[in-house]
Amino acid sequence: MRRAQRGSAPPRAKGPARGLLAARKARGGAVAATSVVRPPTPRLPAGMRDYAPQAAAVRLRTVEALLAVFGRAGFARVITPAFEYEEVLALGLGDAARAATVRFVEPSSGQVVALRPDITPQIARLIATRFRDEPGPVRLCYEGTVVRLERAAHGQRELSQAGVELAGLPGPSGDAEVIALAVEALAAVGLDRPTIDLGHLGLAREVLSALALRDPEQQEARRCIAKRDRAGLDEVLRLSRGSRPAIEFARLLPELSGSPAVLATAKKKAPNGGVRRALAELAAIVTAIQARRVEARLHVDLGEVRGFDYYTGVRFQAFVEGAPDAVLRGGRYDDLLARYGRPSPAVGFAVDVEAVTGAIELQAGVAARAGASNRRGDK
Amino acid sequence: MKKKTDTTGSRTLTLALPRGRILDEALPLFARAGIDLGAADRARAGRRLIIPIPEHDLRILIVRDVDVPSYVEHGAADFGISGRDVLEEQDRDLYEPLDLGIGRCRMVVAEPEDSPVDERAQVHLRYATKFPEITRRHLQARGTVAEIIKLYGSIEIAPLVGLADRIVDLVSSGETLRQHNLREVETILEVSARVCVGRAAAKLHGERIDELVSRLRRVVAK
Repeated sequence: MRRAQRGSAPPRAKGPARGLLAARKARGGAVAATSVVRPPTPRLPAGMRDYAPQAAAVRLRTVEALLAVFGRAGFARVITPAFEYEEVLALGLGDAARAATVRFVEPSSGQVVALRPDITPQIARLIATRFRDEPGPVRLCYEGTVVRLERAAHGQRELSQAGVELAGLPGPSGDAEVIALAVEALAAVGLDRPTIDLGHLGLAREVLSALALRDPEQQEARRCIAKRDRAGLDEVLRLSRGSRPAIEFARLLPELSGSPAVLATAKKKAPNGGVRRALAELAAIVTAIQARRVEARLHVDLGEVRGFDYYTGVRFQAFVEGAPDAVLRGGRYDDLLARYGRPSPAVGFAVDVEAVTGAIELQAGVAARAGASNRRGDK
Repeated sequence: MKKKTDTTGSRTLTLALPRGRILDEALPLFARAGIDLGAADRARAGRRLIIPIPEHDLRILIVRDVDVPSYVEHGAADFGISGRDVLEEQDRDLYEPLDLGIGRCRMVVAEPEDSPVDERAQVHLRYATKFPEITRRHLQARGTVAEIIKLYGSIEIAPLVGLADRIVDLVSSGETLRQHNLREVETILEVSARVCVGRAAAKLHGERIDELVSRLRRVVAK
């Protein structure tokens, strides 16, 4: 009986079409019964946006200020293309980044190409090919937009980035050089004393593999660590066949976050040599940053397990008031260049230009409102 | 652009609380943890939605339960309390450091007692729910293809009037299901309220938030 009702149910999802038609009528456009060429609604795909003169000026000023800092530090500007062969780009992308990539078939060749979701793999390709015979460290910087089909903040899909890559300088000295430059770059655009959050992907990998979990469970453990979900983590750790110290250390990870002093706490509980090495490396990076008198607050988070795509060592992010997520992300990726044919250690970062301008605007707005309410004598 | 702003200064933290059952159960929990939100309780009667708690350098926002993750993810609130049902449905990038164990219920699949679904025989299945994302993931994991009908309330009548074959909904006692001659097929999710913390808040003000969370953890553990 209920089946009959189902059959006569009115068809759904007719809403948008009707809305469009009504909108055209309202604009005075003719709605012809036969197919005539109708002008399309002047709309943008989801997540794309225009910059009117004022906004464009802010973005350009920000990008120019960043590039000026990079240039003074000896990083040469390069420009890479908007799309490349997908299989080449994919060498430098993790599964998530690959899934978020806009791909299409290039009509002339029938090959699958992809809009770049990240510029770092392109720079890695460039260094591994064009700079193959360069003896010393290579310092390059870039600026451009990337496209990602992910649900980013504000539903944005085209992101403006400016960043640097330093290849051929391994270890803490290279890391500290790049992190100091990151802080200097943020100061140049008006974001003083950011919080630099340090994690270590080598450590995260060591801990996860020491748990001896099967793949889906390892992913679940990683998800729980990333969310600091201790109850969920306890549950999946019950399935671990790893050693007790390894399990105990994994359970501690969500708490190992705070001032660089957590490195000493972590060292006492380190379950194996790999974890100890990673902790020593982080401690050396902290020392090297402090020796450079970098104007930033250092925050260590050993439970930071994002960025499995290509990072191998330290991973850092900059946080400031007024931005709900990191405004700058980077780290060490010593395996990436080898995927393009020339093994070389490398470290770099990218500034999210719109996140930076958003934070500056919000800080200015909050300051202005606070000033206004103070004048009114409010609490 | 030349204007300099120090970004590490301490400031009042903002906590988003969902009005309704979770708020009622959370206030005594906070009180036992030594965080008196009595002002929030009183302000609720006066319909105030932004409530300063100067004793704890806190500011409370009273918002709809489904809106808490948005406030926290976008940084309008530093942390909040939200049901696991809402957090799983919206799948935001937030920290979830503590399960408060309040607002307990279960998310279940249910169907009419007298016309159970035969998944192998039926070609087209329809699920009515307030939680289309959780339902979609659940069905996908089982390899089931079904139409999901998003509703905003009175889910339990959907199978009775031929709108859907099954529902996915929250139950606590199961009384509502029984009244409508529905039976549980399976539990998808054990639900309770959790503390959720924004990414930047955790990095910029981690110590103060951790301190509040560990106070709550001590009373929850008891």
